[in-house]
Amino acid sequence: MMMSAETFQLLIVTALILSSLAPLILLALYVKDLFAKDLW
Amino acid sequence: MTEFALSSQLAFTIVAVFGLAWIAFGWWLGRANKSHEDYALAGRNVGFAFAAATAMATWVTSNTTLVAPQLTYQFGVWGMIGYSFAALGLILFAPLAKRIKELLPHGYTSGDFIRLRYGRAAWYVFIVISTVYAFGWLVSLGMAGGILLQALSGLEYHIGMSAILLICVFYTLFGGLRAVIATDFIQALIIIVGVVLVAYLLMDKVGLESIHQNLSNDHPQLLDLLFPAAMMFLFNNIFFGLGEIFHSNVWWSRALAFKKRVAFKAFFLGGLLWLPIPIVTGFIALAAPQLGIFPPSPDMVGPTVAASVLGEVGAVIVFIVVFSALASSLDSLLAATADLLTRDVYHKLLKPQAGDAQLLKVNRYTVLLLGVLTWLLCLPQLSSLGALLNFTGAFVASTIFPILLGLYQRRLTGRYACAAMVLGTAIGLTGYFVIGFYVAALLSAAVSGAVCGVGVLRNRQPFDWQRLSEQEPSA
Repeated sequence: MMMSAETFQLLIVTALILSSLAPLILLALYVKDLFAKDLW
Repeated sequence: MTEFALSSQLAFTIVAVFGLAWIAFGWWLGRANKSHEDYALAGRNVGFAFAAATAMATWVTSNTTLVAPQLTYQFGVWGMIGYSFAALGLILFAPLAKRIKELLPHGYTSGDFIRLRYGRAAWYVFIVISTVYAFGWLVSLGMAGGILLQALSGLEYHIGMSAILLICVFYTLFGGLRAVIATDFIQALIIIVGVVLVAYLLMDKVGLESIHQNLSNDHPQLLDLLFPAAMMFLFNNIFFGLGEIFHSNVWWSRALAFKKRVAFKAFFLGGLLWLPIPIVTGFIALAAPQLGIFPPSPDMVGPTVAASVLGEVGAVIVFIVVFSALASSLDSLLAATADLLTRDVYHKLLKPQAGDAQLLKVNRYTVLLLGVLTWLLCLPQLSSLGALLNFTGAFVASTIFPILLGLYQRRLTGRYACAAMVLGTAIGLTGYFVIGFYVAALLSAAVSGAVCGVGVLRNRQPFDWQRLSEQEPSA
């Protein structure tokens, strides 16, 4: 059973979007911890 | 056009600039370390942002950036999906991390837990397993550094390997876990941004439809959803990943270093952030057949495709990403293994009366010693990266059930936990040599689980959790 073109595209694009969000999430958490003096 | 994507001068300049920055950063952070607890566990006070980033970055190893594309190149879409399932290890460790913080509020290492929960015999076996695994991983990372530099820039293997080891040893030595975690945060950002950038540029230049079309016509097996060898690999990889995370002091020291309220959510988020990365790195390899790229070594397929499509810029990005991935794991392993040897071997076995200042000094010497030993073992470049790591799968998978049941089930005793680890490892190694690498972790976990199951059924005397809250006498 072959993976269809649509499923293939959906898989790659979803992984790319989720990966792109990761640095934003980490930076937002950093700023939040920084202002809350909660980094360490 | 030269044979290599980067000139050796440019590669060495990148290593030197990043290396000096990380060593200086490690030294600056290390000034806050006043006690052994500060050095080994960052004062047990790591916040959510750093905790989630270090969980994710440490699990992004050279394997995620080099072997995930290789497996996709060999096993197709199952290769990258299967590899991404290793995120389960981090996600399932989240509740364990919370439990560890509750049960061992004063603990230092995973060895502490095994010693207090199961007694000395199981502890000795566990230390052997942990040391074999730690050296397997350390050597594979050190070798990966040398191989990467050589493959991308032609820089001699021994120079590249020595440079990467030297950098990681020095900033870990100066800054302890605090430096490891802070550099992990920066390395996590570099890794994700770099990987996404390469994948996006590749998608823009080659096109997803075009890659799928080419694979359907010329390499349909790479899109096959019922690829038996790939599915076997998937299950073995899940158990290998669980064994690696559940037993290793790399993860235990983090669980103990994180603030109590962030331990669960940091590992959970770290796992979710890690999940799509092997799919993104693996996708890069699927463009190889279309581009007519057939790399000399399959684990160089990712860097070769990036360099071929994106030129020197792509090669630089890949180089920095893989270098960051190597450093984020090497530093963690150096710190965690040094903690384990200092605490479990030096303090608990050799010198129980050692004070805090003495332990701090020994911990630093141990980081240095581990660096030298790893360097010596990396010199001959004995084994391939995959073979070396898969060998340790038989060892680590035998610890999954003793750790899991030890944390939640009061009826498993030290005798059965010890037998489970010894028999699991022995059968796993037999499977590795007689059948193949892809069954070593599976067999080891199955046998160890069966022995633990018998132990739980046969024992009637429950363990008293209070015995885990050992506290050091104040110095």
